[in-house]
Amino acid sequence: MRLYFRLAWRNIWRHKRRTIIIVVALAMCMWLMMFYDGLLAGFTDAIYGNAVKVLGGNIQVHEAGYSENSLSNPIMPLGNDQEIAAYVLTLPNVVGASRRIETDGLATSREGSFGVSIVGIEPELEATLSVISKNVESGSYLHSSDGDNVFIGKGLADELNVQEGDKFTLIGRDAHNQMRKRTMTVGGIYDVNMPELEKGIVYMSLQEAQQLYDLNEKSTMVMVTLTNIGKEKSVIAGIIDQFPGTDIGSWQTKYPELTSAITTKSGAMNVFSFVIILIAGIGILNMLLMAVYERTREIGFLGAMGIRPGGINFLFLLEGALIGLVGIAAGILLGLVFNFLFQQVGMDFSKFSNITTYAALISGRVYPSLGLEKIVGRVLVMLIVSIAAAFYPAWEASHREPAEALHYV
Amino acid sequence: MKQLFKMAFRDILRHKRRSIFSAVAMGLGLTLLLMFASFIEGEMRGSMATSIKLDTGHIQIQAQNYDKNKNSLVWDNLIANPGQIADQISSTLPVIAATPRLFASGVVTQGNASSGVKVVGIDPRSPANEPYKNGLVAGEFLQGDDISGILIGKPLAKQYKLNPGDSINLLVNTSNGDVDQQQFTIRGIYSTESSGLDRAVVFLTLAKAQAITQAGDHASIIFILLKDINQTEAVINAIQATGIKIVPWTVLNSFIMDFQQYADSFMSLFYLIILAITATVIINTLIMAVYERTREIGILSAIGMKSSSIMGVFFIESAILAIGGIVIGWILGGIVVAYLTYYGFYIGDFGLTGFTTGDTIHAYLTVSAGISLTSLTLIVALLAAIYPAWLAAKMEPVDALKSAQ
Amino acid sequence: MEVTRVENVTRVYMIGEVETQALRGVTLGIEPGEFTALVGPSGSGKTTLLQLMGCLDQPTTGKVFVSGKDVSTLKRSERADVRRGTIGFIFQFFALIPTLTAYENIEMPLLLNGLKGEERKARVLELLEAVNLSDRGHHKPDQLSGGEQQRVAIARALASKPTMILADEPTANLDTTNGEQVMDIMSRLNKETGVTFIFASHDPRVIKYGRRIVQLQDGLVVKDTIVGNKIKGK
Repeated sequence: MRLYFRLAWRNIWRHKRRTIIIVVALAMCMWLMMFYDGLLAGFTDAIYGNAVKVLGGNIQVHEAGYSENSLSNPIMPLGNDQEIAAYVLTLPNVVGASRRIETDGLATSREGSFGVSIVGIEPELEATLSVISKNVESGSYLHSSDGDNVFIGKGLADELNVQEGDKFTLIGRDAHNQMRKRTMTVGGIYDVNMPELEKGIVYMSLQEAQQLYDLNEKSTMVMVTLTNIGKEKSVIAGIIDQFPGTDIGSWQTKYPELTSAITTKSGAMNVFSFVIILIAGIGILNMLLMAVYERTREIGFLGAMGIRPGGINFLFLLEGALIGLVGIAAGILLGLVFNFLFQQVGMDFSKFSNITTYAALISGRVYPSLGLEKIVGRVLVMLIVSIAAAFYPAWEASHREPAEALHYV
Repeated sequence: MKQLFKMAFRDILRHKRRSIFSAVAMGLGLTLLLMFASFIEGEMRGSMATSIKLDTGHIQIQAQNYDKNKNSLVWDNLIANPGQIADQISSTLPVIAATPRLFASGVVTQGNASSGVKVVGIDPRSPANEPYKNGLVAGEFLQGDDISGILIGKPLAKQYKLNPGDSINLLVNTSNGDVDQQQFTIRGIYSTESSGLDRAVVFLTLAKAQAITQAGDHASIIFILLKDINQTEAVINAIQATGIKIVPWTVLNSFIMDFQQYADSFMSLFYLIILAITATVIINTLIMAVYERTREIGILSAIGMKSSSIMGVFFIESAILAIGGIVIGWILGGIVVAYLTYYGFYIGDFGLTGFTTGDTIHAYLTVSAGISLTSLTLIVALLAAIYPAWLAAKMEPVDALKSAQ
Repeated sequence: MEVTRVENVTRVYMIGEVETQALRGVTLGIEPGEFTALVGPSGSGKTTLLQLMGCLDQPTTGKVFVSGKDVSTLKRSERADVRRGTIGFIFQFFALIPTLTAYENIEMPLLLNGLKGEERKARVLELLEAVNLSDRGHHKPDQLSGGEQQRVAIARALASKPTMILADEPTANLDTTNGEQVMDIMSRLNKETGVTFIFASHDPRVIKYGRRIVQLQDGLVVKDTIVGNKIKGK
């Protein structure tokens, strides 16, 4: 075995120029894939990361049947909401659990009207974790006793053309199907530099929402904040355990369109990179074919010495694999360096923040990750193609009788 | 010259396998290029066409103070006597339709569920609204002065489990900053294959929309569809009116065009990489050819062939391989592009709200794209030949002859 | 028991559309310890015969025996196994692996046969000494002269203590001095270790050393003589 490795490794460097050119091609393939993976990861991180920070909570606990109505935010009172909140706080990785009421409505002023999410919150509980409470531009954050004060983002304030102290009308539906219309006062304005996002939310105190929607001490969801993204699964399991009847989601489930967009784009990229790797594979094929031709007599001699046809075959497959590995290694290095540098600079996506519901969550620049998310799969594909490219040359090499090969000129 | 061609041909045929594989590599590269170019172009054309047909029209007439993001019903921001203006345009200018539309924000509710929607008041008789009529999946279209009928999109109907004849509650903002609500009966359910639009838009008759929002005889825009898109500027110049904005589709769709530019620059990067990788295969093939014909090159040089001629042989070889590759690329690429053009590529619901595009994208390969990508492939192949050709040319005859196989 | 034996073998080649009969029916047996030369002009079939005896090729008709075992119908991998421990080869073009040093070239058969660490090292050094190349072990073939390369080839052929060594035109690419040197070494090794040597050559220098001369012409044995009466022979 050691012999084969020694032979194969030295063989691939016999003609340095050829090998280096192929390695460059392979490295470019790997770099491209890593760049794309890194960008995609940076993108989703920005979205989910911001979703958690700005919209709040990694996990949302609702009443059973809630997510069947994904297009609408029905007012479905959550049974045992206080118990759930209390219980969740005891689970590991949880830093906050508070109750909310969320529904859709309209915010109108003379300027126009805008569909908004109306969110009733427990301000004292959310203040420490909430980003918006720390970015107050004018006025103040909410207090639970705030009555008809609302807290809105600069984006919405600008659209409605209101300032702190001004009033506007808020319309929504309550649990009994009645239209509720109220005049609200702007108690405070926050600015997180995501105008598309800010345009869509109006915050009020939980008590106020309960009154507005006739919910009587109840809430429609428990919002859970974790130490970091990625820990959702176990916490969700823990909650289901104790409260099996609930409908629990995280930001990943809240934006199924994002997941499907990513899947489609990843799928397209996979096909694309596979074809490119194939092209590089043809390079390996040609190179090994040439090597077989040049080394025909030598191969004959290896056979004479007693190496079986299977061994010759293996030798060339090994050469293909080694070329692939060198290319992969060079590519990973290239990818890491490039992504690292790119990470320092970031990419400006803000122009396209209104293209989708979730793109609104990108505040300015997107920073790619190092691109290692799918590295195992990528390495495997490249390695397999490299070895497959060697199949034909290996067969060519091993199918001759030594006598024939030895006298081949 | 002919001799060089013969030499190049013979050399390529001498190593059939290697030549074929190299040509295939180039063919694959070209296929990818064609695929991507046609896809991007198709997407842009599709979105543009869809957007013009359903959303922006070729030209819009708006009030000076109109802001499309606000859905304001303040009379100041609306067009007065829209019917009159529309009729005048229809009768004097080469349009398919000129029709007023009124936009408002609304909330549709049923039971304890609600969804934000855009309310659009239309004149059901106008040809501009054909797509919605043709896109009915259930029920009927709105009729002239229907005051209690509403048209909703398939996703909304599915969400709320609604059928024609069912009732639904609609809240709408009004021109004095207030809100009104009313029950409406669903007359029909439409689908335009653009989930973003279908999900969020409901239609009322213009008369009803004006009534419920207290907009009087006003409209948000006049939507104009031309017979020939190239007449846009001419028509705009021909419209005589004061106190209004006349906006062409290019401005109305500036977002799509911006996005297109962005996507284009991204794609250029991809093209570059595809070509670079393909080039490496060619370079390697040619280097190996130089290497194994060292002796032959030495002989040619010794009998007096100029190095430029020797280089020429390799350039010709590269060109021949490229042509082979281009043929393969067009065959393979042609099949793929034809499939994508005819059947399209289903991207489904991406949750696109900011710009209108169908759920299925049909590829579109322009002649110029086809030509430029093909030329690009050829140029890259020739560039790839530079290094190997140079290697061949700088060989000393003596060294070449010495290195027997 | 004969080291190798062919019985009525023929070998027909197809070169394009043309049929060539390289061997037309040869029966020959080689005893252990022989130092035998197959001689004849180009095209007489001596190389072909050598290849058949070394299991490098299969006869069209007839049988081949190595150490008493019928190898004529073995599969290629089985024949490779036969060659590995039992037969050593030397060629006119030296056939060293250019990417390996002299030491590593000699080591190859030992690695193939699974000889371990220290033992292996000792054997290689022993062989290097036997061919007078102890100080050149770390050089690659392109740093060695023709004569030196052939000596490495000899060392390699001997490495796994084969029962026979087959040499095809071993001196064809060597000058007079080196040719003599190489033949001297092989002759000495034959006497010291008893390994059978079979040559195919038309070089008088080689033939001079042979103790049995088998003359071939047009694919048949025409003469088979023992030189002098020094060796017991057939």
